[in-house]
Amino acid sequence: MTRTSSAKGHEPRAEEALIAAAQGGDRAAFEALVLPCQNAILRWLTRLTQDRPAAEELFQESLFKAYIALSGFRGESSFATWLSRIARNTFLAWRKALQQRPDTVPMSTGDEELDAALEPADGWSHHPPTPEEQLWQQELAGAIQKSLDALPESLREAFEQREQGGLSYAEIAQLQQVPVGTVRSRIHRAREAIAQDLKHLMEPA
Amino acid sequence: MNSPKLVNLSIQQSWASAFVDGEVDLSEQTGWNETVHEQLYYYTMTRQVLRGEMLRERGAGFHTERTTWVTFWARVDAG
Repeated sequence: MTRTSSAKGHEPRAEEALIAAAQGGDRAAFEALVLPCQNAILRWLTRLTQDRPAAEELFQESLFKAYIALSGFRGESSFATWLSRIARNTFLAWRKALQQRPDTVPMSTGDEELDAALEPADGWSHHPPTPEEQLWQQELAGAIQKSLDALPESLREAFEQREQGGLSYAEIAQLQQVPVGTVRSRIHRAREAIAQDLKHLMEPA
Repeated sequence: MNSPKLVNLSIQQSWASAFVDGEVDLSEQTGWNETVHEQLYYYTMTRQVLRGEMLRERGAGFHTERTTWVTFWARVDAG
């Protein structure tokens, strides 16, 4: 595979490894592949169907088709793009079936609007958030910033050099003059601290 | 804040974080469990929030996610 970027996905090297493992029947790897793009595709289907339960069903159906077809996936696009194409086709088949039912009330979205939402093929990842989603995004970003502010400086720096600076562990190790294993530990501890705070927000007791 | 002296973690202990960064191989993970799933879930989400990408919905936490997968695998197993 020669891809160098992965929209709404893992680092390319990690994605390739997950694809190979999932093709070998590793279910955890398949789940990990879906994880970064799951919400974006579900949100896209919700927008297309204007019906959340229907979107969830279509997403499950798309996942099922993807799992069955995974052995034929050759990595010519990112996994997320591939899955979004399956979701798009699943949606189109669902819409066609719906329109053939005599008791169907026409979908409130017009065809032109629908076509715009369906194209380009990876348009699923680009539509703007609603005000409510924006507010939630801000809450989460605020929680992450608060977690970062509370971290020891060495952990925060390592995390920011990786996430915001895009540096490799080796480059951070050189900057901080510590072994790579120390960088790996620092970034892990920073992520874990943030995760604990996010959990309280996502799943309040 | 001063950095406390912390012992370095093993690759196993810090695998999920390093994997998200493409710094370790999948083969270095010797056993997926709920902890690894949960770490990947929150670490991926953290990255998406920081990049301004769309994120998990309010209330759609890790445990909700697991329920979705349990349903999915039951369907796969049912053929």
